[in-house]
Amino acid sequence: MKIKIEFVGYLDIKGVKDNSWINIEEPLSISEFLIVHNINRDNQKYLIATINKKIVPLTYILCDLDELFLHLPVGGG
Amino acid sequence: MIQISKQDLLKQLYKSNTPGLIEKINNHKIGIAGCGGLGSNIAMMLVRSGVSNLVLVDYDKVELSNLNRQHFFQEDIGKNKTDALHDILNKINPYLNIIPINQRLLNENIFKVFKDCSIIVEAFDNIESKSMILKAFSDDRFNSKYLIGASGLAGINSSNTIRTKQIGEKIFICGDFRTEVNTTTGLMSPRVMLVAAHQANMVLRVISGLRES
Repeated sequence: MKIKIEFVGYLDIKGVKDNSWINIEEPLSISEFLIVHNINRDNQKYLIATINKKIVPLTYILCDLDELFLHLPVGGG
Repeated sequence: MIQISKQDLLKQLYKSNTPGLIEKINNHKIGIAGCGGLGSNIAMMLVRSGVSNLVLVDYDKVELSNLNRQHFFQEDIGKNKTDALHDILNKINPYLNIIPINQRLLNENIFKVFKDCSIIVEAFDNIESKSMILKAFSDDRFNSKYLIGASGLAGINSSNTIRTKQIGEKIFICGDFRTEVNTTTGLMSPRVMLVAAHQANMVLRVISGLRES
């Protein structure tokens, strides 16, 4: 299955290029996908995910052709 | 205070504004989540743009150290930020409909506080609250509302790194998405104001039916 992934800021997702299509072998939740790419659950605490422009929980199971956007808010104001 | 009728005051006050916008603005109530560096400046810009229906939410009081970037004055020190801001905004336009709420915004009260708002502006300073309000937008109760948030504004990096990005159907984030506040960056008025201006302008664009890429 193929998904598109985009992320902003200082997020570093090991082995994944921003704004790219990637292949996933088996159905994974967003959280499980991030763990595979070295972002553990502690570091997912404040992470925001959208699928096809809708905010979803990190328990969402990724589907073929999903467009995943990840945003980690930065403090200050 | 100048002594003229409400009708004349409003006509003069907004005569340089974009034509046709004021009628659309009057249909909206804007919620400001946090009245510090971002929120105080956003509220000031929105009132100068013709917004008259505002819900201002913050639990904090004005301190001297806020005056480097927040739209308050020495006489406001010790006052609730929501009340001080209410008074300041009334000096621009005394015919405002402002609801100041002196409370900490939490998952438990956010839906009730912003129930009547069509647009909510996230103007928090901490990552926990920023994340909390964004996650609240996965709830059906916020389905019809817009959120305009901020992320990345510390220091004195280039102004040109600040942008507005649409991340959801009704969700926009303004900032450089990268520069966090720490002991080396600090919080400086120009970039806080830049992000606040992006957010205020996005409110006006949403009201006008415009979007961002």
